[in-house]
Amino acid sequence: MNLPLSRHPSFSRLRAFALGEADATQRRRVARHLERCARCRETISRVREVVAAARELEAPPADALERIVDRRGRGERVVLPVAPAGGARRAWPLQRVAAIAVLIAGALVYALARTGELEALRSELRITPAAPRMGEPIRIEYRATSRLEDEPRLVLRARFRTPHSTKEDRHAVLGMLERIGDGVFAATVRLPDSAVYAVLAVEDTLARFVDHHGEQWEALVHDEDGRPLFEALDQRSWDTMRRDMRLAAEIAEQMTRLYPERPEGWRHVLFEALSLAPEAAADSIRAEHRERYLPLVARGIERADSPDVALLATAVSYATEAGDTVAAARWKAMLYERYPLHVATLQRRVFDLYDEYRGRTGELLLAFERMYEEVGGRSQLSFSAFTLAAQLGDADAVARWAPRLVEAVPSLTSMVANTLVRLPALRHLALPYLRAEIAAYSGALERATATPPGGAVPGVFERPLTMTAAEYARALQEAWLGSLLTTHGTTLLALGDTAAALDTLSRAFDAGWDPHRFLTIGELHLARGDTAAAAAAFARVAVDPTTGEATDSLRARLGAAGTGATWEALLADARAAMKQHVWASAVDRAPLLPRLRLQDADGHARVVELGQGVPMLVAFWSRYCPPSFMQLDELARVAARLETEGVPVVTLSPEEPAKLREFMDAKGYRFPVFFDPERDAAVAFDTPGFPTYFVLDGAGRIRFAHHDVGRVIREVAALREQAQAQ
Amino acid sequence: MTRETPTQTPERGAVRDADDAMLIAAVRGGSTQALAELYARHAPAVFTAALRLLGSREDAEDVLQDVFVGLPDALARYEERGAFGAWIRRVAVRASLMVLRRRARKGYEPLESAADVVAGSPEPERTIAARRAIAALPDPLRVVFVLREVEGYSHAEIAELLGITRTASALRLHRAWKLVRRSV
Repeated sequence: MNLPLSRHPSFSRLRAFALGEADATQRRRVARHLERCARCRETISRVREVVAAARELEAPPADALERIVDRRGRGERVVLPVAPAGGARRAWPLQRVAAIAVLIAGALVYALARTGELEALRSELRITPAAPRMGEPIRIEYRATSRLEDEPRLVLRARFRTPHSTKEDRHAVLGMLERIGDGVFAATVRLPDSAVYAVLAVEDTLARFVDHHGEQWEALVHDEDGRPLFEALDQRSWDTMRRDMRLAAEIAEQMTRLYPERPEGWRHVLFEALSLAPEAAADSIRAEHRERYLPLVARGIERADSPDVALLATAVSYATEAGDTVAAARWKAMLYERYPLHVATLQRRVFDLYDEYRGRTGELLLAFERMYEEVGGRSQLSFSAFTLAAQLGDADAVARWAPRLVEAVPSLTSMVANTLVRLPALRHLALPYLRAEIAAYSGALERATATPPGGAVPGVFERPLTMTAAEYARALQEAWLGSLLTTHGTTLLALGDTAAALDTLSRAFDAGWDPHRFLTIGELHLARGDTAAAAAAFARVAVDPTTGEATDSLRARLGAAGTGATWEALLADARAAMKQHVWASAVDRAPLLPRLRLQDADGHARVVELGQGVPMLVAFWSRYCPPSFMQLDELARVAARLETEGVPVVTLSPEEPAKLREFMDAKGYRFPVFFDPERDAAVAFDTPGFPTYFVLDGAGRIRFAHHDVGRVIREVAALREQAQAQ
Repeated sequence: MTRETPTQTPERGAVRDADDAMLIAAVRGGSTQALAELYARHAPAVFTAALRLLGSREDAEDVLQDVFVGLPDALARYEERGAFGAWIRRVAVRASLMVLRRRARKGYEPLESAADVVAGSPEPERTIAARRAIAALPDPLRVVFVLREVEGYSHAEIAELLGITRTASALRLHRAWKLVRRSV
């Protein structure tokens, strides 16, 4: 068909033709038209000229390189906005683009209005010099996020690590950042003398908002030659492990490159190889590890006259997991011979005993006792013997091993106490342990909530880098105290100290909200015949949306107290208490980005809009973080329930889609999971570690942020109730 | 949806990237010479991308400097998968967008006029006029125009990068062309 001259092709078509983007049909049509139309030919050549002019390279200013070298020489550091994955941007399949276009269609006007919100949400922090030597002053320049830019001054905080505290973090206020310009703050600070590695964060003086930038602001202490200290890399690798195992592995390889003579570097490589190969992996994966990593490990071990003990011990585990029994046996023999009393050897010997006495638990317990005579109450030995004795109900053995275990591992005190409570003959032994624990947690709570005069930031030394003071105080309060008090009360009751028991239980009743604990407390009151107190506790169980279904059987057990106006009044009280509790931990802030560009577990690009008119759960998890891993089953249940209620669930895990898909399938999890290739989610939520749960309201604002998946259902219910009330 | 890399022909790219890989390794190891060599090869592309996006020589030079000052650290996150030239241009684009966002937040206007951008160029008048017209576009339109016509991004990619819809990107491109055509 020929276009009449009066009907010129649209400019879009001419442009597409000029730039070679038109399809064959269009190309033919436009070409035919051009034969006869000088005006359109002119347009085409103009388009080509403009684009050519724009594409032509221009020379940069002559002295730019000089300035760059100068800035680097002064140690300046710039964090570039690099898209992760390094490679080409993924092109989106057409149908996906169409789906997203529908999803976010709504209105063009709306889209245009929202672009302003994307402004400079990524803050920057520059460290000068980039390679500081120990004790050298460091200049920090911080370009604030929009949430902090109006503050007069800001607090610079650090989580720092010393060469000898492999697993302990320390937290400090490094200094105050003074405002030096529009949204720009600066300070000159010094790391504590012992520190070799620090992760920096900035917060307002009242500790309401922390900008930690995904924990990417790091300072490493360097030697005179500008090489990062071995200890700095070592600590960086430890520190990175909790957020990115692959990065940790890269740092470990860097350690073996820069410092091949240090066994710890090889050990890191091994440890990370172990972590990246989940146990019960497929044969093919184990074979790959046998071929790729085991020879590397052997080299690490055999390069030294006296191989490092921890390297040897890890290598034994690794060889066992990779299925190389010969190497495992050889290295185990080396370990036992050279380090007979080392904790790693003793741990292995305990495992050996388990193998030797498989199925003969009584004899195993005796073997543990013999080992104790020989080496004393080491942690692994005491733990194994204590738990075995408890399983067997051997009161004498439990009583013997309890003090040994508490001495070897003080952090297991509450576990020891809980075990003792369940053995009637030993219950009285639990009291001192319980009291010590309660005192410790109450003390921590007071330290966290007390605000010293002068507005200093409370609890800064214990507080994790990524939590505000209020979040930390709540986390402490709710983590342990309530359940410890319940156990304590139960024990006192069993021992006949009724007055002290009731006092403890009423404290437990008011410490946070935990329906399981309320059930226990109700049962205790009921056993004592106090139906009124039991009804108050059961009412709390009944109103909780996570446990509501058991109401009828609870009421039946209460008799008259579970009926009529009395019961209704209790329910009303319980609802009010729950509401108060839920809202007490509410926050109200907007995520730093309004929408997230993510990748689903099948590798497809997805855009998630925050604020879909209904509440929403955004959860960050990682299977390599034990606390997070342990909550995954619960997360799956919560997500399934939210799905039936029409509440969108977005979960994010730092693994690549293929790995994620494999893991989800293996575990049978069906909740939606995404990968965050552009770090949109990390930026939007400024996330601390794993697990973290954000409950958003219908407008897309963050209303709850915490680490406990058990609270989510209650919070969603509270948001819906509030929305209905409005 | 492939995109063109207008300043680099494939034949030359292959040789060039092989050399780049060695230079990258040297820069990671702290070599300033290697950095200077990478600069010699890629600075014009980085600078031009920033200049077109920002419409200001001063801001473009800031981006250029920042990109190369930060390059040794950023290379830690670069995997040798795609061509380095394409990668560093994407970094330049992202860095320029950050400048634009800061500018938008502060209501800042570049000090120099569009005429300064091309002052003293020995190029043909039409080339100068075209560049001037692009530099004079309002930021939101110029960004889309440059990403699409100079950097070769698809509308879907632009939408993703700027957080706008694909339709909005197409619409802005259309408006940008309308203004450019009026001036040339």
